[in-house]
Amino acid sequence: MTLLAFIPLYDPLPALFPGMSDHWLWFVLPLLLAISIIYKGTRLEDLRKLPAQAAVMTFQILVVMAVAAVLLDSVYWFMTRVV
Amino acid sequence: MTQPPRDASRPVSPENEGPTAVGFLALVLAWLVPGLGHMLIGQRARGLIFFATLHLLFAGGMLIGGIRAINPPEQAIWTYTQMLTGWPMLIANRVEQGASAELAKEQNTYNQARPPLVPGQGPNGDPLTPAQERAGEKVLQKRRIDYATGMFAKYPLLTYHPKVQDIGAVYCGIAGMLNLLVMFDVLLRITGSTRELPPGKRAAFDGGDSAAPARPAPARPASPAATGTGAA
Repeated sequence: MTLLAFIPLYDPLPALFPGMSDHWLWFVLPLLLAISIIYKGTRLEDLRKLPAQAAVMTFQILVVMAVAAVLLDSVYWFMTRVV
Repeated sequence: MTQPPRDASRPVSPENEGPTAVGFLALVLAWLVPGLGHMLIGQRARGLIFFATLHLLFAGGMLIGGIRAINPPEQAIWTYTQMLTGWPMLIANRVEQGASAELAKEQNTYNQARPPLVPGQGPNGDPLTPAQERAGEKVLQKRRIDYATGMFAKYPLLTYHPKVQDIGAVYCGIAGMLNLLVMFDVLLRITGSTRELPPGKRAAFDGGDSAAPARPAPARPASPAATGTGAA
């Protein structure tokens, strides 16, 4: 499609870049960062520590999600191949 | 005994009478404009961070998923959470109502005008041979694909990318839930409350960087319920 027909915030971005649908998982990263910034923003009194603390929290969530994904995949593999 | 003059800009009154009018206004504005509540109670830097992050998150969701990320069909939970975002959702919701009608109209146009998939009869009304039928199907399929491609180029709103548009809905919904957290933070600040922590974590927070215990809480007279001296 042409750029002229695209209306930002109205038309979905994959209409302009159809390949985006294959990389949807990457959109989790900005979401996690925003969650960490807001959460730490409510908890920290000294906001100078916010960037570092938010980065650490983002990384922690990512690690936990990765571990959960591996565990769930293992359970799925076990249930489908072994049981 | 003379009482100190009441400072209207302070969210918590010096007499410990609870939140002032400014405090209540901050709570409402915290919903309407994410981050504004903190700015109003004097937490400007914090409010700016919340303002920028939540607006960017909501705008990001709409940029990714388009207007169809708002009020996703058959997923009402996201509509409720998106409503917590305040003014961005109020406007987006209005635009979405109009877009739904436009989408239905375009969908109807598309459905009516697209070429059929089943080939008709031969030129003389004779039934088609299987070979003719197969050839006809291929031609019709190509015509249909060309028609759909042209329609999607002309009306991008018709394109549907489930995973990406779900991500858009999630972005806007999470922005609303995070704004709820921000509103609770305003509530804690205007009431001078502190978060309760397990005893084991108290020391860590006292020496750490948590806002909650370090936040100066106004001295309040202990309530009968808290001290256990109330009438049974």
